[in-house]
Amino acid sequence: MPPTRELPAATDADTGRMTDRGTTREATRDAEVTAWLAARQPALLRTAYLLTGDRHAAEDLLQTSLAKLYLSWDKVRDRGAIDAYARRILVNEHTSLWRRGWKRREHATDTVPEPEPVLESYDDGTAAQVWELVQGLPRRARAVVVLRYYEQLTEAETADVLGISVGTVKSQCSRALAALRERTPAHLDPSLDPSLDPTSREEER
Amino acid sequence: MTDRTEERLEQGLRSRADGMIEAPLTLADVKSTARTIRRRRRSAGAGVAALVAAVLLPLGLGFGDDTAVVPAPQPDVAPAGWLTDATLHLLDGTEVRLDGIAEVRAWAPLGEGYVAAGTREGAEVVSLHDADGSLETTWPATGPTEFVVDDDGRHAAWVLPTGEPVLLDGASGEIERLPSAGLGRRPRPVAIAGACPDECGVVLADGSGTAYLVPVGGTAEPFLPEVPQVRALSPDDSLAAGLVGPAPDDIHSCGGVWSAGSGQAAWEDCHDNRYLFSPDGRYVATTFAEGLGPNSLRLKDAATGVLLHEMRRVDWMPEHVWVDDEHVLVNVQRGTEWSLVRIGVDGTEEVLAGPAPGVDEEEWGMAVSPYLLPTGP
Repeated sequence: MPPTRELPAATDADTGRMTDRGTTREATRDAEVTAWLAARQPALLRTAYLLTGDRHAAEDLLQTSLAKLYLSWDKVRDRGAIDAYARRILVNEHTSLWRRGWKRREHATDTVPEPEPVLESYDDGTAAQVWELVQGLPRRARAVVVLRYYEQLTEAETADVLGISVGTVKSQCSRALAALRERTPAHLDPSLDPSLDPTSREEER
Repeated sequence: MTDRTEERLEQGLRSRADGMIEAPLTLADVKSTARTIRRRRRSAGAGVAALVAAVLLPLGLGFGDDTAVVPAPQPDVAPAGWLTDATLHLLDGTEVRLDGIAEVRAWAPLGEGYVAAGTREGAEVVSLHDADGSLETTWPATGPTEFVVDDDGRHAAWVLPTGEPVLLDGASGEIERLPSAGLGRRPRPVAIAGACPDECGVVLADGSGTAYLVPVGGTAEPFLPEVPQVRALSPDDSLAAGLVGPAPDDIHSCGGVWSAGSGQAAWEDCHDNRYLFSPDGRYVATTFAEGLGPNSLRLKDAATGVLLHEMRRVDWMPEHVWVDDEHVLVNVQRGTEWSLVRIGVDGTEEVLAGPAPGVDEEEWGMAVSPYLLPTGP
């Protein structure tokens, strides 16, 4: 459709052309995205934080990912797939070179307070060890752990998001768990102390 | 006995993140960033669009006028192996002859086919072959061409005789010329960084060891200036290996691994000057290549530098390549015979081919390996 003079100037997010169709489409898209942001942004921020380990980097990652989601919004025909699509963009954006150190300098003077860990009543002191372990993993391995143990994706779903094999997902998880076992004091780990494991006691009977 | 480690991991992650309930970004924030991204994509050239379109279709997404960043499905990448007498012997047992090219000096799987460097009708070329080895395209090159491939095995990069870095897309068979302005003398490719085709660039080092990044759609810029003489980049770009200078013995080199994000050194030692990260970035294989060439190879934890396994006391091991996350295939000379040995970070060693006598003694003045391993990412 050709440009019209009667309609207010509006830029189609996909084409950059000003069209009346674009005006309606953009308004619809903006309304949908606004509603979706209100509902889903905190969850994505949490995932971004676990991936980056830094609140400011998480917001930076989130902003780029949401922008890319916005640009693709009209192409995702299945609205029910938006959440998974957004997660996929977020995780893959995290492994992109353009989220590396030389980009971080852009925000070097900003300070964003880090969130306080939510200590649950049953926390036995390993939360800090988990955090240290996860943040010490290579990026892709960290993404595997976050998707599997925070997002609760299956191995196949995790492999699909990251574009890797299920075997790689299994091996990355196995390594992370093994590393955590090594760091967990024996008196806190039932797997190392049968006397603390009710299943073990049951078996002994 | 029940292992609650998974439960502890889940609880640890939840305790750290579940307190974040904010929605810090507005629609205006998102649209502002979207406009910036759209401008950058338009400058990246039309060649990208075809590949992105090919990526979008399998995901069930429609076509628009813009290009969306969607993680590409992993193509079938040709399995690694070795080349001898212009024939690839792949690890799955199949053989593929690279047609139309002679004196192959380097090769690598690229997408579903192969990229190679050699000669055609006497001229130095880089060639692209399909899965059956049939020649598809060649591009001119000068001298013993070095190329690098990205960690997904879908793109290759090298430097043209004009000095321009080029990025080859294995799927389309098209090259993208990148600007050479600002590069030092005699740049050579070190790695492909980022995620091609949308956001990536070629890392090059000049004769003095200064490293540059030439991003697609951009111009050369200093690359990781905190890291001296960048030699390798881990597949996820989080770690970089570099050289500090000569070792106290004036024979070996001091170098190590740095965090690409912080620029902080993770570890340094004074043994080696060649580094190759494993596909998952967890390990790094290091050798010292000067004089008579490498005769030992060390497998280390990439993050700590802790030595996991060392292969020593061979006469020559001119090349090696990671074949999976934990194993390196090494071209080994012992006496007059050559073998391909797969060594693991767990200390295992397994001969996959050979021993076989060396070849081309008249041309090189000594018998060289009959095997040629692929160029790794």
